[in-house]
Amino acid sequence: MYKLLHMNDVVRIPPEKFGRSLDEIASEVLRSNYEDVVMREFGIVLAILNVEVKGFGKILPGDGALFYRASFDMLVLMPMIQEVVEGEVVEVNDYGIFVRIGPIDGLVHVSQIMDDYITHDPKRNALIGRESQRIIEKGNLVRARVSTVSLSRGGSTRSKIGMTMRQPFLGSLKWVEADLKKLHGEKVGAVEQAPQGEKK
Amino acid sequence: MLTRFERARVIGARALQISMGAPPIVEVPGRTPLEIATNELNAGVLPMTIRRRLPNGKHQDIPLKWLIKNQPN
Amino acid sequence: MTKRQTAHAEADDAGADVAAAGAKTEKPAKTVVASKRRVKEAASASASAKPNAPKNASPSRAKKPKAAGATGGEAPVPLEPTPDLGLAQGRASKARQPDMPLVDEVLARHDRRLPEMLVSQLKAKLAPLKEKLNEEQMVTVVEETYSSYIKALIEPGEAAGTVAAQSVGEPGTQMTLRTFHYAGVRELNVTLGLPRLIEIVDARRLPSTPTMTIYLDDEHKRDLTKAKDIASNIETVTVENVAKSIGYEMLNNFTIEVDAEMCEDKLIDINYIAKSIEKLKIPGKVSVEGNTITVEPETTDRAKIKRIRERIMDLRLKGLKGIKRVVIEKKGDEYLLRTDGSNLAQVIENVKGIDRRKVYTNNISEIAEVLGIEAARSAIIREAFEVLDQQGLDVDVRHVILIADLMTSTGKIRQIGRHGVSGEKSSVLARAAFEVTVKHLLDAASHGEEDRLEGVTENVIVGQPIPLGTGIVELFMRFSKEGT
Repeated sequence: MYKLLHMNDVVRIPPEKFGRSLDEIASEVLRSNYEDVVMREFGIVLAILNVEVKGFGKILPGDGALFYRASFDMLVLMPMIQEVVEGEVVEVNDYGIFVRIGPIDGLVHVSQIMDDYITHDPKRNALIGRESQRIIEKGNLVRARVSTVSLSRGGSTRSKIGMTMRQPFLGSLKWVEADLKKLHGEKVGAVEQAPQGEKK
Repeated sequence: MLTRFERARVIGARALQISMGAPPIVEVPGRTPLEIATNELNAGVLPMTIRRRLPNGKHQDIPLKWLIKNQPN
Repeated sequence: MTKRQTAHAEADDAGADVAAAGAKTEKPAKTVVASKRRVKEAASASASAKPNAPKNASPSRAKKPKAAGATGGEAPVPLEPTPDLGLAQGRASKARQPDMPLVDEVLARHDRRLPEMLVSQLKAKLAPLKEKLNEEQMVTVVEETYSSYIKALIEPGEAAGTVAAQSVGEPGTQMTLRTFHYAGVRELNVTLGLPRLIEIVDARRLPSTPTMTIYLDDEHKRDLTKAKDIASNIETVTVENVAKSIGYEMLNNFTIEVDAEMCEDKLIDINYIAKSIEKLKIPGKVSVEGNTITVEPETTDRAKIKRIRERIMDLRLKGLKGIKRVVIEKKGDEYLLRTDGSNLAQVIENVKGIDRRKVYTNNISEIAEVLGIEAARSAIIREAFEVLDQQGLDVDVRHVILIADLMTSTGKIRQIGRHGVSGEKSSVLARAAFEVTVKHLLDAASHGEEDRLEGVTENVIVGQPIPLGTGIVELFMRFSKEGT
């Protein structure tokens, strides 16, 4: 879930940056402080916007820098458990797929992709359901539900998000479409199947 | 009037800023950060404010410019 | 004397000094054609004579430790005095001032930042010199006075309390080696030196040697017999004092043989003694026979009789409670009384023929009770300073004044220590740093106490800059749009 948070903070204006506009320095400092930082309580910080600096800068003993009170907007992504997200499959492995859901990729484990026995086809780099013949490969658009979130202060690369598609109306958007039609009693069209040639 | 503590603090803080790379406010003579800071103070160009607290908890923010006006010598 | 009065009285001396400096300028003005430079030299010479004559010069700084003292010695007061204060004093003392428009005019240039008492002193000193000084010289003197005063002010942020503590503490270490008791006035023994100083600072309820000094009024002070009369009314006389011997009977009675000479000396009649014993309401009989008083208690219990006898021996026949002895002393051409023991309330209230305004006791808590906290404050200053002075230790009074202010600022006398100033600090860490560290920390933890880290001690403990000197300055900088 994306959020826009209004924050108050103290920003340190280092002396070597004196000589430029205060707002400019302040947003520069704040962006380097916060952008792409993972905060456990707020999520992954994506952008710092509308920086507003107030009042005087305080000079503390032992430091030449000025400390200003500043308020700003912070755009964050906070993955929530049970949240339904959509994204593109960016990587397929024998153990599952990675779906890009913004600044971070979520893993859908093989066991969570569909109600079927799944095999990995290393040649096509795709995961195929044995009964349903449904296929997942790189570039597919999928819908999934977040099931576990583990944010790490180490940054977005260290944070892990687990997702599932083993629920009604989740999975590749094409399957969802098909499932919906079926639900409304329409004739089941050609479900995408693995090309005959490759099926031995 | 500045107290000697205030004077020391102002010059010290400003000299540190200059040594950390802050540009001088106006062209003043002096080769070391300390000299420049002292001259800036005497020239009355430092945009600083001193907060003086009263025992009753109230405080008053006094611009440096006012304070250096009545300096003896 | 109230706090303010003390401060001004001292400030006045400063005014007198500077004015005296002005007076010195008179000579060059007479002999040579007065030049501004000369006057300036003369004035600054006497101003810079400070190091040579520290006693004279120092009182000009009197205002300051005072200001800090009023706020507990830790929070400084801004340099600028509140304007209405100056005005109020001005109105009060204007009437007595000689009219010196020039002085007012010069001082007006400095926003009148000079205590009104000092101004009037200055005017008084300058008025007779009107003829001898020209206008320029007069202005110089006033300017010099003003700048000496300003230079003498303590700056906010100065560690006045620490300096006071050291200034009293260091000589204290020397005292330990030198003396414990000093033979006092004639037969009276008065605690002096370090033990006395400790007594004062600890705010003991009873000094180890309480003593009073009682001055007599005009009618009595030059006449030894009249002085003796008053003395005998004050001095306690017990039965034991006038008894020659005490007879022990095996039965349930005992006799007291009264010393007739003593009785005459103390102006006591034997029948009066017997009557006083009767007033104790001891069940039994009291009879007089010649110089002997026989007491026959009803009881036969030996232990009880022993107690009764002791009560009779200690029975006060005359004098004031607590005053054990009175010594008459001649000072100049007048007699005064010194006592062993103190009873300020009784002396002031009941003794005739004395000068009530001058009665003095060294029992500070008694002074606080009878005359109030301001009097106690003055007494602390006087007693502590006297101890130091007597030892030849040249400690500036204002350090002592600050300590006295700290001890009395709450309206009660607080000791400098666990049960007073140090123990009542609001900060947990400061208290823990003083004594019984663990207890304070445990108590604070169990009560969920908070420490705002506002004092010096706390910040030393946590390793932050302390709020003193440059550390007390809060500095801000404005960042102009174009950049600084």
